Parts: sequence; structure tokens; C-alpha cells
Amino acid sequence: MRRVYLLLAAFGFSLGYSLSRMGFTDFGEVNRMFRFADLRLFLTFACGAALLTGVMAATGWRRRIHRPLHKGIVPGSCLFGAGWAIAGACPGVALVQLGEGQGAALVTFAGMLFGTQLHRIVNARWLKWDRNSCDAP
Amino acid sequence: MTRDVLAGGYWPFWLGGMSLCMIAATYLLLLRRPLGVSGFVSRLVAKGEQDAAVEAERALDDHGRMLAELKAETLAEFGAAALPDCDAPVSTSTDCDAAATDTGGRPREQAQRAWPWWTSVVFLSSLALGGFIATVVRGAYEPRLTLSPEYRNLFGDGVAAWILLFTAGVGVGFGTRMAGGCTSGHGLVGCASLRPGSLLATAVFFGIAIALSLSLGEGA
Repeated sequence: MRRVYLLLAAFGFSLGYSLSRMGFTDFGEVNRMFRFADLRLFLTFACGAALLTGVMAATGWRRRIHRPLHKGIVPGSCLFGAGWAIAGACPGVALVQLGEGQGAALVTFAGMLFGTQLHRIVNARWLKWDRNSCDAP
Repeated sequence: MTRDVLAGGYWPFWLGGMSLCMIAATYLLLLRRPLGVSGFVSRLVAKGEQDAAVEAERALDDHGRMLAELKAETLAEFGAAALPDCDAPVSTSTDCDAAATDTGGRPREQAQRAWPWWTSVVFLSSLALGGFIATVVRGAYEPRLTLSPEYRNLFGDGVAAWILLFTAGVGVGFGTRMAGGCTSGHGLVGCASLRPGSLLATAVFFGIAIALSLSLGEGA
């Protein structure tokens, strides 16, 4: 288990460092990406996805990932997309912003924690949608 | 361009793309599960259930071990004829190949051991640490409690702007859990695996974000 912790620390650090150096944590940069005013971040993401697609296909790992369609995908993604556009941060980015000293990310992250918990309650009590995930509901 | 990178400007797209790919690929290789940040956030929040899941698996471990030992002793004492016909190996390994049929229909990839709550703490704080070091190394670290200029351009500086930021965060938290993934889980790894769920999710969240940003414009 210690190996897992060390790896997670290493990966978390690398991802955080990279996201910061890419400018994904800069609201202005992200906003420009979404408005097509500056294609750099878009190309970054597309390049990463393209390279990874090649890796996944070449190694056969592609078959080990399962993301079937489920009811929550469209509504959830709508909410996430809207939130991302306004806050300029997706979950990982908010944490990197905290590390960078962007105090406003405290508010963003607090909202994310609240939203996550809210979904757990709403899903357990009313929606009961299966998200095809082994994580605790 | 190299000068840009060295001078501390934002990375060119190929460098960012390569690092995203390498991180996601080695993560999958070494940890044998897909990278997904919103999952960590979810497990951070669901501490109680996560702990229970870990405990339940540990109990199964012991049970499995006990059965295995019983089996071995029966074999030793009475020979193979004494063992019942069922051949299901009682596996305590982290590779769930043998237990694939026990997953209740869940995809094999995800039928893995529950990670304890501390994994979320470690991963998420490492994200923050990465951001910290990246900023400090460039001498750009200045902790502040202000909204970014572009944000202020769009939404102002008042209380409403802060409430909006919180609400947007709620949307992100709620939405990523409802969709079962975020930019890394669905967008990067899911799409790279050409999975329908992820391709749809990514198209929707990017589409909505783009539409919203375009209509908001540049603000003041």
C-alpha cells in the first residue's frame, strides 16, 4: 500500500505541476480556450488525448476501461461544463490553484465539496441513478 | 519557443500534451486503474462509506485466507478427492481476474480494491503541492485572495461574484459526480479509450462550456 501512496504523491505532483505550467489554472487562459480566442490550451488537450489514444490502442489498455452510457452523463456534464466555464476550474485545477496561492480557489473548492456531497445525498435519496462506478455512492 | 519555456511562459501545446499523455499512461500502467480526479474528490467527501468498503474487503481477505488454509489442510489430510467440486479459487490478490465473475456484472477494470480515504488526501494535496512548486520555482508565488482580472471583467468584484464562484463550484462538484468523471477521467482517459460514455460526456461539457463562454464574451 505504501507503493500506492508514493505513486499517488508522484502523479499528483506531476499533474499539478503540469497543469500549472500549462496555464490551465489561469482563468483568462481557460476562458480564451473556450472562446476560441487562443487555441493553445485546446491543442494541448487535443494533443494529449490524441497521444494517449495511440498509446491505449497500441498497448491494448483501451479494452480495460469501461465507460458505458448512463443517465447521468448528459445532465451531469451540462452542469459540469457550465460550472467549469464560470469558475474556470475543473476539480483538479481548483486544487492546483490553491497551491499556487489563488485564495479564491478556496471558494471554488468549497463549492465543489458541497456539490459532491449534495449529489451523494440527492442520488441516494431521490434519483438513485447507477453511475457504473465502484466508488461509494 | 524554448526561450519561452525557460523564461517561465506557459508551455507550448506539444509539451503540455506530452506531459498529460505520459502522466495518464504511466498512472494506468503502474496503478492499474484509470486516472480520474473527481473520483478522488468524491472519495474524500465520502469518508465514511469509503472506510466501510475498505473494512469489508479486509474482512473478505481474512475469510478468503481462512478458506484457503482450510482447503490446503483438507488437501493435505484427505487428498484431492475430499475437496468439493467447485473450482473457484479464493483469491486475495489485487488483480481481480479470478474474481471477475463475482463483480455482479461490474466491468472488470473497476472491480478493484477500495482505496482508503488517505489516498484522496495524498493525491489531492500533491496536486496543490505541484502547483505551489511550479509557481515558486518561477518566482511567481504571491498568495492572494482576489478574483482573477478576466473573471472580474465578466462578473465584477462584489459579493455576487463570489457567490457565483461558489455556485459554479457546486455545479462542478455535482455535475462531475452525476456524470461519473471530469476532464481527466472522461475527457482524457475515457476519450483516449474511445469509450462512448466518455466521448459523450466530453462533447457535452466542452460544448456547454464553449457555448456559455462565447455568449458571456469578454465582459467589460
